[in-house]
Amino acid sequence: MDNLRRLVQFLTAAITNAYLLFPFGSVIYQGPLKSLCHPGLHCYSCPSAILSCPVGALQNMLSAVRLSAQAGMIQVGASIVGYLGIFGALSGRLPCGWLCPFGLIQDLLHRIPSPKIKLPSFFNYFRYVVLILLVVLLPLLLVDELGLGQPWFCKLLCPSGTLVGALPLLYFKPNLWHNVGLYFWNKIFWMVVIILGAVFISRFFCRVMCPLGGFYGLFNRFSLFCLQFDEGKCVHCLACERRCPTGCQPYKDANSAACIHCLKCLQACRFGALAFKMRPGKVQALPVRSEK
Amino acid sequence: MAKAPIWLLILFIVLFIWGLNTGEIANILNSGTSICLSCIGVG
Repeated sequence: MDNLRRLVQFLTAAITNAYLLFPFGSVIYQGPLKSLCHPGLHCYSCPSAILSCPVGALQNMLSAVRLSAQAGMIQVGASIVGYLGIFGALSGRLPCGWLCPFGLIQDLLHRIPSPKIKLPSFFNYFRYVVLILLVVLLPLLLVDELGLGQPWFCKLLCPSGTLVGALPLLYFKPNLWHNVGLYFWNKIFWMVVIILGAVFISRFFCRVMCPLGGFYGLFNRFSLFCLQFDEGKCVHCLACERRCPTGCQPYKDANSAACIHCLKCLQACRFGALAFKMRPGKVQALPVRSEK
Repeated sequence: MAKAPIWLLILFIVLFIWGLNTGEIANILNSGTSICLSCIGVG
């Protein structure tokens, strides 16, 4: 299962970065595929990216909502929320575990031999702060005299934007170095923190800061396909907990918002106590026959 | 089959279609095809 997941992750990353003409033509891909969003976090300013970033596109729409309203067509990012919501309603955080290119980068970083640190679970709530504050509220409310906001998550934090967007662009367009300022060095700082964090703490960014993970995580308890735990088969060996990259305890809460549905726990459980399948409906109680 | 995810799915499909009808696809294409310097922290 884990090999299959790795294959899917690499294939998704390769397809997402299929524009290999960037050193010869325009620096970024400008074709029609950019009207589609990636279900994971991948900067659309990456020279090889052929899809758009849902978080970046959503912030851009929210930051320009006043202008679109003036033009008579309010654009609040409904198509992006709907698109991400379809993934969430179907499979919860499965895109985090299987499709996200930045998730793959973190998985590879965590393979670097080093002492591994367990992250206290209260850090998990910070990603909701990032989602609400940097992705929704600040782009919507902090506007200039023209009524235009800024994509604050991208501007202040997004490590994907720095690693696969800013750095390659600065390499291919050296004249951009003139625009580099405090915001850039702030992002370099966070990128270094996140990269080092990923070496020592499994899926550090996904667990603590990713707004997309925060959004998908809301669906883990309701998604059509979900993790199901059979208590009768569990021997409490804790193998599932040891293998989990996000510190979940599937025997306590099989559909925790932190679970990225990588399904490593299924592989770890030798007793078949865990399964990933369609959520069953409510079991209806049969009418009790009264015997007099 | 549980009903909640089906209703959620329908809700998000409707939201997606509504967004498409307001011309959001052109907006996504526009933001994706130009290098947004503030998006990458440069500028």
